[in-house]
Amino acid sequence: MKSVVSSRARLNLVSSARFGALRLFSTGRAQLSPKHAQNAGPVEDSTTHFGSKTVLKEEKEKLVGEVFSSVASKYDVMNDVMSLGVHRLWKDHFINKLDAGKRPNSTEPLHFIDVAGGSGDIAFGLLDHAEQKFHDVESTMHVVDINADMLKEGEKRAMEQGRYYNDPRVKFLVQNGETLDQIESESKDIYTVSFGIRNFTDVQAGLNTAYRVLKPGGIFFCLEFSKIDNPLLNVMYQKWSQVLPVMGSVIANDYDSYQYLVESIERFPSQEHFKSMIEKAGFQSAGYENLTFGVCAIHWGIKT
Amino acid sequence: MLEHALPKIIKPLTYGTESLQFKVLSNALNKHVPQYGFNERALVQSLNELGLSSSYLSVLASSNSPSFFNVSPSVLELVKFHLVSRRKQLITNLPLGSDKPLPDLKTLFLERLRLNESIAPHLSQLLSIMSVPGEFLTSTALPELQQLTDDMIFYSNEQDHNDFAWYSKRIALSTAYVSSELFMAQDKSHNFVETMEFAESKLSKVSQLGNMYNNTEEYLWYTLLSSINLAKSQMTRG
Repeated sequence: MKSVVSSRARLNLVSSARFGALRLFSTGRAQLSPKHAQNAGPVEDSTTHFGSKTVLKEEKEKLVGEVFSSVASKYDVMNDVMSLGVHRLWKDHFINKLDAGKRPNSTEPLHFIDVAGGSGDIAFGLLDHAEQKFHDVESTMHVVDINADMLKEGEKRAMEQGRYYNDPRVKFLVQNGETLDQIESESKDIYTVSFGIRNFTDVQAGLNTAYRVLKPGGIFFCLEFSKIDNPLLNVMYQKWSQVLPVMGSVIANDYDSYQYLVESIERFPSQEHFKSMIEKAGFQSAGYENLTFGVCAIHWGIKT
Repeated sequence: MLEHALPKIIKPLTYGTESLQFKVLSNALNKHVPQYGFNERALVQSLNELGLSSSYLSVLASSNSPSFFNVSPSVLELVKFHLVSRRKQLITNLPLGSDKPLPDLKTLFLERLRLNESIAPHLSQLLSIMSVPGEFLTSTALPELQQLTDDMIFYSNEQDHNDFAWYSKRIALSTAYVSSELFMAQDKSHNFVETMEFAESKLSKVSQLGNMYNNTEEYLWYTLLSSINLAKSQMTRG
């Protein structure tokens, strides 16, 4: 870790100061270690983690917003580099496993919501799957993201591919995943969130909201980084994640955002812990499937 | 977690008899599979009947991994449900608490085959889904077959031995069961009389195999002991 911190300091000097607030927090890291926050007592309740840093809850939303605003345009390239292209397989598996869509002899169309899905790859993938496999052209999709820049990226992509742009079936909305205040309760059949829920300030609140917006019989489906069970592979994975911020600085000229991504993955709860959080929100038959030895995991829960 | 705090689930399924999944699947299996077979059509008919949308197929599918070569995950769950629920059905009416004698192996074996009667026209489809190489075969189809033969031996008055015969007996019984199901898939006779005859002949071969096994074992022991005795007697003669 030490070598990374020093290289990070060097790169800070080199890289541009586009994202002022984030830089300020990097320098303030020494004072804001988790240990200090715990000693502070009453302050603890109003803080949360931002990567390995402990920040005020009001701040995290803004900080995450800055990370994604800065990576939005190079999001796909970076994902490919970071996961060696495997993220496409994960997402493909996710969509195939969900296997959603209105079946030909079924009566009602489905209502999807894809949270933190600004780039639109899961949302468009789900709709494409439903159309190709079940000739479903009725089901609707809400693409929701807290970050307007990411959402624009998705809209741009829809426009470029000439599908799902200005389509009455697909709506893009800037919404906080923890509240979803424009989404009615019990209005959705399928709630998906892929690589998004770890950026929530309060993950449990996000899960409770997922439970609120789903109809009885609806399903919560989540793709997220997780914990590797094999110790040997885990060592290799940790080494790999130390290299990622450096690659981020080379490809996207942005060390800190990728440092945050790596740290937020480390801080995210393990499979069993996250499963218990899903159950705590009220979901039944919760479970998970590990992908690539647990680098990633698909979690699900059913509202009955 | 405490055992009594867990919801009552029927392992290896992830839901209990009160759950919506159970209702959908048992309704599909009893009413629609005999007509449509093991496919999504049967499931969607069942969902329509219960007033659920097709998103529920994803709910049913969630514990299975999609396979490129096999049917969709929700249909895999239907097959799994068929295997598990029929296996449980076999032992629900047994006099387990009382002093009454347990049925013999043949009764249980034929009883399990009779539970296939309603879906008999779709048995070849079922068997082909289960035999596609992949995760479903290794994590569901084979373990369920092993569980079934284990249950048949455990819940009948059949004697069980904790030696290598334990494995031999289960393997022989599994083979007999699978071949009987394959026979049933093609059987057009009234009330599956021919299947039952076939199964009985297979079972008698299993018990013949058991006799052969016992005889061989006895012969080997006899030979071993007599050779030791022969060696001993030669040694005392000097």
